[in-house]
Amino acid sequence: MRASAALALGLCLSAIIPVQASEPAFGREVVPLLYKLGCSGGQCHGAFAGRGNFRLSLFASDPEADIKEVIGPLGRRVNPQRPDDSLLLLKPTGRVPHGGGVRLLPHSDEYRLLREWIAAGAPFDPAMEVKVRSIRFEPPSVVVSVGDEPVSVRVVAHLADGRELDVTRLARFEAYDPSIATVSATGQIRAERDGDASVLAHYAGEIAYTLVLVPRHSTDGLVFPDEPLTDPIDRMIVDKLRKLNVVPSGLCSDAEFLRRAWLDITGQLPPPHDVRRFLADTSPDKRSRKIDELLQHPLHAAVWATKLCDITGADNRVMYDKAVCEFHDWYRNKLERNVPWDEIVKGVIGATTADYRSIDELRAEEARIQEERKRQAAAKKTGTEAKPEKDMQFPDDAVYREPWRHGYGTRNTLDTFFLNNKFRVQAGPDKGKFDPKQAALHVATAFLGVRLDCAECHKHPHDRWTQADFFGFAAAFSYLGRGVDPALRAQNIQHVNGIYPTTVPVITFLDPKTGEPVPPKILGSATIEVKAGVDPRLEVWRWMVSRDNPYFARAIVNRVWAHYFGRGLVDPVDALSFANPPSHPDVLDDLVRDFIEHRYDLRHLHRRILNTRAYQRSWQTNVTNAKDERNLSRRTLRRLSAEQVLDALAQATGTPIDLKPVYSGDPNRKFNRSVEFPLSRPGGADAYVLKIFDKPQRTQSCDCERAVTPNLSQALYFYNDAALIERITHPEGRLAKLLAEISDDDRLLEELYLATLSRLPSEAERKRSIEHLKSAQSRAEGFEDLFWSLLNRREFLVNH
Amino acid sequence: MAYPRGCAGFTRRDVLRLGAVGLSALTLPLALKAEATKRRQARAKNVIFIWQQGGPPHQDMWDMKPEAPQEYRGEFRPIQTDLPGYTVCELMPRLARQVRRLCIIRGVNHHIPDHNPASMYMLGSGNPPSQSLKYPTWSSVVKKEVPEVPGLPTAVAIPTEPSEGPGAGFLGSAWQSFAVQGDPVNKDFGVRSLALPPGINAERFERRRRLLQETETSFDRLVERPDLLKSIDKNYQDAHQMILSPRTQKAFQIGEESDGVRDRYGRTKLGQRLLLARRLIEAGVRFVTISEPVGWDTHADNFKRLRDNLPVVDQAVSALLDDLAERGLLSETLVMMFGEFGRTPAINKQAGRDHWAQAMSIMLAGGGVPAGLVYGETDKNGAYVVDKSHTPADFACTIYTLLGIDPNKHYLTPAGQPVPIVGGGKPIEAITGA
Repeated sequence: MRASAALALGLCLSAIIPVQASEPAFGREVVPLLYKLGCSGGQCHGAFAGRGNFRLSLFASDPEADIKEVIGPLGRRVNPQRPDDSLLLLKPTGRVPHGGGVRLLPHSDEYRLLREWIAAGAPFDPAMEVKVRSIRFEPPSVVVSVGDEPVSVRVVAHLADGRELDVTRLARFEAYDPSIATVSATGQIRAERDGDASVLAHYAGEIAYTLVLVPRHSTDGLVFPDEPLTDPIDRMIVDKLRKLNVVPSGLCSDAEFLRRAWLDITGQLPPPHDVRRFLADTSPDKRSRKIDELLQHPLHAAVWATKLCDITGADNRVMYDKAVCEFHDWYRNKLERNVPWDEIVKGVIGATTADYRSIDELRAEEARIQEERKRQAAAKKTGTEAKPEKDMQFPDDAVYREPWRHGYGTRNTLDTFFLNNKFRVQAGPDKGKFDPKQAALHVATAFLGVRLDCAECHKHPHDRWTQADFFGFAAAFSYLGRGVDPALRAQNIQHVNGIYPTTVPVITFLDPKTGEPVPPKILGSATIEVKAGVDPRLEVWRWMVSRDNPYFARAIVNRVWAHYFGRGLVDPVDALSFANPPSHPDVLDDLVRDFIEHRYDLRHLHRRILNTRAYQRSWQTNVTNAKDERNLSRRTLRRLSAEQVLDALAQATGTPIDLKPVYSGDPNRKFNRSVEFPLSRPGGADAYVLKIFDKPQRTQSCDCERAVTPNLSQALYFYNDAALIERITHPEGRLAKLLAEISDDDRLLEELYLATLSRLPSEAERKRSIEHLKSAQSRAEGFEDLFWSLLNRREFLVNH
Repeated sequence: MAYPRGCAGFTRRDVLRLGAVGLSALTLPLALKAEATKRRQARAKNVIFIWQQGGPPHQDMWDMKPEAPQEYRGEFRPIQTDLPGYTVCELMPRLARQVRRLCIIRGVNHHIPDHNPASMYMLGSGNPPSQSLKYPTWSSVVKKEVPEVPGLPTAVAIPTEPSEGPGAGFLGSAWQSFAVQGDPVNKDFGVRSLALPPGINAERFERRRRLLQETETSFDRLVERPDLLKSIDKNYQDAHQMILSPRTQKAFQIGEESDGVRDRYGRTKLGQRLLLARRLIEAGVRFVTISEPVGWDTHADNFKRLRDNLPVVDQAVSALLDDLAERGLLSETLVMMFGEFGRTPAINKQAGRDHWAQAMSIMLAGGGVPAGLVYGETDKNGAYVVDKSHTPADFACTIYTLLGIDPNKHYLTPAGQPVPIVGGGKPIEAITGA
């Protein structure tokens, strides 16, 4: 109707002014131009309710909606007879007062374009306009130095009919980091300081970027080291550094490597004996052997189970403690067995309570349960103690020591994921119902690295996602029943109570524009036809694992990378989008290809990254790379994570940690390290440590919840907390034992250095320490204070 | 053009232009003091900032629209205040009697109806959120600008700095507020790690400090000491001084307040947080940030939730203002209360209101702001500002001007870029008094 109105208007006007052959196209020229001029920004007419009764689609994403607005009621904004008197030109030129100020100069090219379009009768026929397929930058990357003349770039649009068009003058440019490189409205890129950043172009809803490298003036006389770069990704990284004149740091020492690898892979400090052994080992492949060994360490799976719990919302404020433990156990079980990543994710997003079991298996299980009930009833009648038979699933205490290897952890699917109370409608007529939108947001962030939150209310400002995309994706998670599956109940199977796939949606979403129900869709793509036997969630999964999926493999590869380097190749890690280009596209592509070729083998991915030169570089800097944050020329110092801090304290002092469930939970469950503690909000005396070191509470489905910045509470805790002194002086702690066992001060000193800083003391450190010991009131006091000073060293708190 | 990218982890975090200071480098306060002598005439000396995370509904609090259509106006009736012609929500009867002390700004608005970036905006000193830089929050700027008193934290957050804001931003986390962590409403409230542990006397404390200081050389081979280490260094200096200050320790002991005073504020989380804030200001703390214990993101059950929340705010804030006034602190202490945006005029299907950035209400009191001023106006539905529209930057310039801090002063980012405290914006003269 909208189009026909416009058409009718166009026809009636064209009777007055003949349509020119080369008139500007509305969708391809006028709308992008309005965006470029800033008219359709969120603070102006692109705002949800528009401005001054003039509303444009945010970021010029919807020309069919915009045409009506641009022409205005009764055509009041355009005047084809006297184009210069059109409101559309009077306002932005400031000839009529305009809240947005002067945006357009008369006689400019932009003015001329708008004027020509108006003069042509303000035409728009969506059917006739050739759609834009994609846009690209020419050249795809730019090297420009500070002080150079600006470099011109072009933006080329690829049209649906195969033609290519230079759209530079219509594209809107954006500098990703204007402190490094700025861009003018006409595509002139100027270097501001050393570094690299991207410049983005937006045009007709498409986004492209060009990488801008601003090299240092020179390497300041430093030469690039002649070093073995066996992995191609190391060569790619060094190639970029050469372009930037940034000289990388050398290889880290063995002791540094060992501490780093232990912390990064298992979350723990290396045990002192392992440091001594590793330093004494002279074989050339000892580092890669150590990597293999640590990847098999039981806590490696725990580190990643905790991370996956963080990003999939396992918060024990909105779920039972038990349910959060199930999350952790399930992930840890899969990770320990190195189940391929695609299978793990299938088990999450396609979870059912029946857990892929056959009807016969379920029937047998039901029979067992009924049998047990009868037995208990009989026991009650005879007055004997109705002691439950030892749980069949849990044969011995192993379940408490290694809960993830038993019970829930062994299931195929994580149905608890969908039973999260956060995934419920909070109020209104649907209150309490399962909320597919929340589930969809979590799935997108955790497994695709895509944030759809913005698209819930409007088109995503920096990505391709529209509201329709979001609702279609959410609808794919709407076909879930809660309770006992009627199909199973009909077969007398009552015990499978949880979630099951249905063909009736829990909630139907309506397209905000058309008011029509939105069918389930693959994100931004095909519609899923729902029928018996088709679970739309599994259709989403099939799309995820299709070879060309641009998100699924990249998201996890990037996350694993970020885990080892402190920042992702795409950073932040949950912002994979066209508008957020990677620092090293070639490295990311290579890793992704390799990961898929190895059938989503996570351990292979970890191993490859850990064996790179880039991972094993020293933290020691030189003048060229002291400021480098993005280009992997050195190890970046990082504060230990909350769990690492607590575990390192417990490990170094040889004392237990005190974390407990808060709301409920199994008191018999054993765990030794905070990294294997499943809950986001623990109780117990050491919960304070996790809190001040910013363990995420998993309130938001966002990686940003985990902070690793220092604060004053942390310093006070290490510097002066009674609990820390208690750990040092614990009667069964490391120091008490060492004092009893080792009479040689020098030897004891070494042990304390190994237990805290994972290295032997330097000569200067030895000398100063012995001096201190001499001045102390007693041997014990002297070592207590020495121990205290080691725990308070920056080197202890930092993963370097 | 810099648009928000959700809760993106912005890269450059920290900077400390102090050089590599060890524990002994306690000349820092002097350096800052010298800088402070250049400060402009300040009307407000201290700030108590109540952050209403989630976006409080302006039209159900300070900007009532009883004439709006039913689908907009909400359940609450306006009540007359002590300022003739001005009404507020019936759930705030105590504050209604104190409007002559308040300055209500109804014209600040922006365009980001999204929690994380909008919080960056309203907490980040009115600078629009940026993908490459996090701007320092209010308390960090004040901490940087006012002279430090050794042993006394300049800025304190109760219980913690709002996590959705930028924190100290590019200044580095050493300029963050000191977080008390616990909640003063709890019986066992106390700030941990301040008192010397049993068995550690002053002499031993000093001996082991010297040992630490003289062996702290591990990262000396760095060409440039990164912000991470500089921030840790600064935190250690501050911690050391606080441990040695009995005055600071006493300030946190809320139990010293009488039952009568504690009851007056209300035995609620907010009430006791505000009471602790008053104690801290009295002890010399310059900026206290209170995170509201309840969220204001009332997409559902807006009115039911306000019936719970507003009386708590009413009692606690009115008690604070009275108490400050009685102690002669109100004239030099600026109290400010706001969230990241307002809420939609239309009431949704869940009896809630959604995000709305085009209008919001800000409450100010004390600290030299004109008392009894209701500044700015929204249209009949509370949707758009029709009079005295201001940007968050204007608001930030206003606040910093009241504090005697030049909003145009530049800081250097870690990359060496000079960046003003507030980018753009002008102080609102009706409030700063030109």
